[in-house]
Amino acid sequence: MEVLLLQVGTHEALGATTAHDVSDYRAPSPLAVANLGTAFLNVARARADHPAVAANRDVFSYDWIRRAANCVGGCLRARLRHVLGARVALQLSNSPEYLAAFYGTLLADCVVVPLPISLEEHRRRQILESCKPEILITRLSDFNSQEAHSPATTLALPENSNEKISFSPPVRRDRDLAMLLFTSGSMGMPKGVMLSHRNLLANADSILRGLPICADDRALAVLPFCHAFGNSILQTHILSGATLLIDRLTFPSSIVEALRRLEATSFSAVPEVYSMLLKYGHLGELPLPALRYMTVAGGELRYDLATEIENRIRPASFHVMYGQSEATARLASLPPEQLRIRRGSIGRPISGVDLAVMDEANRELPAGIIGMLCARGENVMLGYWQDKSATTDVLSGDGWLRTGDLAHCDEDGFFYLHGRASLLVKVQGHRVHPAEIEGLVEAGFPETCAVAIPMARGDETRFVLFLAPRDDRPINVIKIRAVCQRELPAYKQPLHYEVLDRFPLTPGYKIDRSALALLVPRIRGTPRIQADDILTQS
Amino acid sequence: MTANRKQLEADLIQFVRSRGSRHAAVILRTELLESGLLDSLLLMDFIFHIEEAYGVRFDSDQVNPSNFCTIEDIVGFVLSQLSMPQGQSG
Repeated sequence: MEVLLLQVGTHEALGATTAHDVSDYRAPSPLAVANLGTAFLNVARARADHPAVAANRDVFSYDWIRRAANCVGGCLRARLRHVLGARVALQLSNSPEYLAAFYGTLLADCVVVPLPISLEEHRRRQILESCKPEILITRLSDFNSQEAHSPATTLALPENSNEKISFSPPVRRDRDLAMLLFTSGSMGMPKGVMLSHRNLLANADSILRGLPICADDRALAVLPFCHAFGNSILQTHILSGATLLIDRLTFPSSIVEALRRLEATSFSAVPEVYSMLLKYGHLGELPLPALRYMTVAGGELRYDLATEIENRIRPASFHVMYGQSEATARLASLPPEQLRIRRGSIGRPISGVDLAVMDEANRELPAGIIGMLCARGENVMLGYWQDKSATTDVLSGDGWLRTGDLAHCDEDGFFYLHGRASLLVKVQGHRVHPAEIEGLVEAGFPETCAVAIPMARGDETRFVLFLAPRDDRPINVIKIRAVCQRELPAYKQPLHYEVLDRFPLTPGYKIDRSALALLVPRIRGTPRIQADDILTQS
Repeated sequence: MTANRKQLEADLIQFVRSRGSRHAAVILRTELLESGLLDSLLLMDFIFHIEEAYGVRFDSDQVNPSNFCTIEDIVGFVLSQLSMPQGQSG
């Protein structure tokens, strides 16, 4: 795998980042074309001088991004002759380079594989081995030192003045694969969600029909673009000719400060970010006159927190949304005026999407009955990468996607969630399977049987790891904890480790996870390490 | 006291290093903010971890850059919260 290091050369500053360009530009429907790269080019030509990205203090116009994307596309074509659909991995934080790499890859008829910039090494290896990208595009500040042995080429953006870039339009279209989005699968192995050009264009179109996004919008982008929800923020705003605001957003207070300073008109985040904004961000203390709306998706935001956000951002509106990577991004939306009427609802399907609650035999259930939430529409993925059996598990022949979420529908067609049907748990918008944690422990400590059980902690979900001996050998909790800390990112690390003599079993002699879940409340509330252990008196 | 400060330092260094290879070289005085290593997700995890593991609660004004520049700063903050006099004398 070759490494392509992007480097921003000169760019044209377009004035203050808060410059407002009130225009009557209306972007064409994303469904007017068959290739997402082409859709981008059409908007970029029409909005040439408008800021596409305002990153920290620099502004990048649509024309700059277009030329930079052409530059990446030209470079890929030169390296990957006749390799239609070759995978190109992106390891880039939110930046103008990300946009250049994303659309450049599509213009070169390749497939984008976005990787989170912080990714555990074993997971990264699994993904790269599974989809075998020809090229990894990154930049120095996002570069993983472990790839240093790969041959690296530096590409200056937007273009090398000696090199005239012109190449024929892309040929991939409609149901051709455009993007591979890796997510945690049912056995803890990563699964590649295959999204076509049509999937991405159709979901952008649906969202643009439901949300008040317009060409003068300025969206503060806190979600990583490599995430399905972050990608959807990117596509909907770029395909509208609007502006993405990128800033240092480490602290909850810096998010609120950036919303004000950059005069952001919208903001979207996962529930955990909203909890932090309420707790530590002083949201609502200062007015945000430019803000028009906020959205939440990627997990369930508690009802009281949702109404609290709504109170604090008035007169801006708050949209609760629901979706998943397998459906490109978003599936349902709750109109803001229904937030207090339909308590806890995820809303109704967005334009172009059908939602239904079904039983095990894929028969639609009447209102009020809990079953599997299923979705159909042009945003539903092609399937999982090289995994037919996982694909047929969730996709039926007539196009229905089983989301894995339990739900019911009320008489008026509003949907309400009742948790995951399987063991998958959502933590900070990432799906985590207990098998990932259990497998790691059992591989390193074969004498130990491990079961990870989700626990609620405030507004978050984490894990308790239950351990029981397989034989007479003792269990070494300290070593097990050290391995988890070394190998797992923080959000997957068990909060508590509990040793049992043996696990409770179901009548079928399987480990009874629900009996273990009943033990969780007894463990909660005790800090893992007592203050006395840290502060011994000298 | 010194040994336990060491224990806390080692725990938090390990905590950051587990984020992946970009974070693998983090040491006590690595500039977490300037280097861009501390993003909002890691910050959330930090707060969460410290609250869970050490029973230290953050006030809304304490989640700010001065307490999170380096791991050393975070350790200093946790110790100061656990016990004012000892924390300040280090």
